[in-house]
Amino acid sequence: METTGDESRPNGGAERAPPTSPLEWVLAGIGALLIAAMIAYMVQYALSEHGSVPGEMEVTVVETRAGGLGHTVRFQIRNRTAATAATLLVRGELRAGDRVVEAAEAQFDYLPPYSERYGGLIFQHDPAGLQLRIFPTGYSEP
Amino acid sequence: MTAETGRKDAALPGRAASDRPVYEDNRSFLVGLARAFAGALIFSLPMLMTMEMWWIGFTMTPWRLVLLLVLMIPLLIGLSVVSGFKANARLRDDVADAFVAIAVAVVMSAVILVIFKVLSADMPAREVIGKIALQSFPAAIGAMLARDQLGEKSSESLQRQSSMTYPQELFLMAVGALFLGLNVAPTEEMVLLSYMMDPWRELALLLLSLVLMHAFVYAVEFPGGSKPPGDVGFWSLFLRFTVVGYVIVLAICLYLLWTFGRTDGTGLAEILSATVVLGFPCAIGAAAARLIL
Repeated sequence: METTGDESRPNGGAERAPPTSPLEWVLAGIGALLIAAMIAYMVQYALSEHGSVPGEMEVTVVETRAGGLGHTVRFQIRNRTAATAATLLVRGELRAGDRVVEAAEAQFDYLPPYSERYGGLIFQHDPAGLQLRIFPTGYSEP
Repeated sequence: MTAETGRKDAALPGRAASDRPVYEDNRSFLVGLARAFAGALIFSLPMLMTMEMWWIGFTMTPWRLVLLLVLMIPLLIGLSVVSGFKANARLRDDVADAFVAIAVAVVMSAVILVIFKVLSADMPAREVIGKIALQSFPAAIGAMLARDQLGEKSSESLQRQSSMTYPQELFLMAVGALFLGLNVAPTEEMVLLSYMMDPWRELALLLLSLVLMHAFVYAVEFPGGSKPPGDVGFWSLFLRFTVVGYVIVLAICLYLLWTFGRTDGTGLAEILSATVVLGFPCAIGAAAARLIL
């Protein structure tokens, strides 16, 4: 486009768009920095990733609350790997000794690498008098 | 970058006054910057509000994201060069424009994604950077196109546009393909449609893409008879623009599907059919590039 349009321009290209102003150069510098940083981060991430499998997860119970429909156990699940787990199933069991009194399940669309997500399990029994176990049971790889 | 439009508007009436400052004034630069933000928003809103775009941001292979970001730079510079609305004297001004577009895109994507709660402070860097980086691709193209879409079309700029060289026309077609194709490429529907459609329907879609594309090419090529249709035959136009354009479109579709991880572990037939499905909007975008860009 450098020359093709010139013949048709009334000023014949003698006065093109003025040169880039200092303010614009500053912004352009910021843009260059931003994209360089994003590329550098992704390259570094790609190099450090060792094809991990999302198995290392950590479940923490945040709180238990009694509501109209039952007892809600709110928990946090944390991914300790660089792999993403999709459609992650989390199961919670209330046990009295060896017997499972009640079970509930929650599903997460995604658990991204090194991320945490919150969810809730709703039980009819009060978890206070029973043992509560929460664990992931399966996922799909995106 | 888009600042040029603002400046140009300001400069046109005052062209006689040669004592104008060499640089544009800050006000017209800010007007141009606002236009860039608006363009980035208009172009990338559908993608900012598509959940697959958020997910792909952190599930996609880092190398593919790197490639996308690297390719974005020459694409934006090329767009600045080809754009019919600005005559940068030197390539380095186009380069500056490209990086301003990127700055605008990153800031805009980050702000909107934070407001949407797609990004939050407790997310790891990989997720945050991945999401912003992916969204900045369409947003930067939008910022770059802003002056074309929001700026008024002067007869001078239209003339510049009609005097494009053949490679520039093809480049603009590719950008047009991205313009429509990026909206739908990341969605599940592309793959779903390819599963649903039988080969005959895919063939029909391919033919329909070609026919519609040619109709657009013909309509756009001779707007109000600015070029005498006599000197360009049907086959010349069809082969040079429609067929070559469609091949470019399919290549872009394949690249987008691969980037978004839709081709992984998929059979060749399904990849081909998803490419044709995505090729439909891309073909329309490519052929109508001159109208919509």
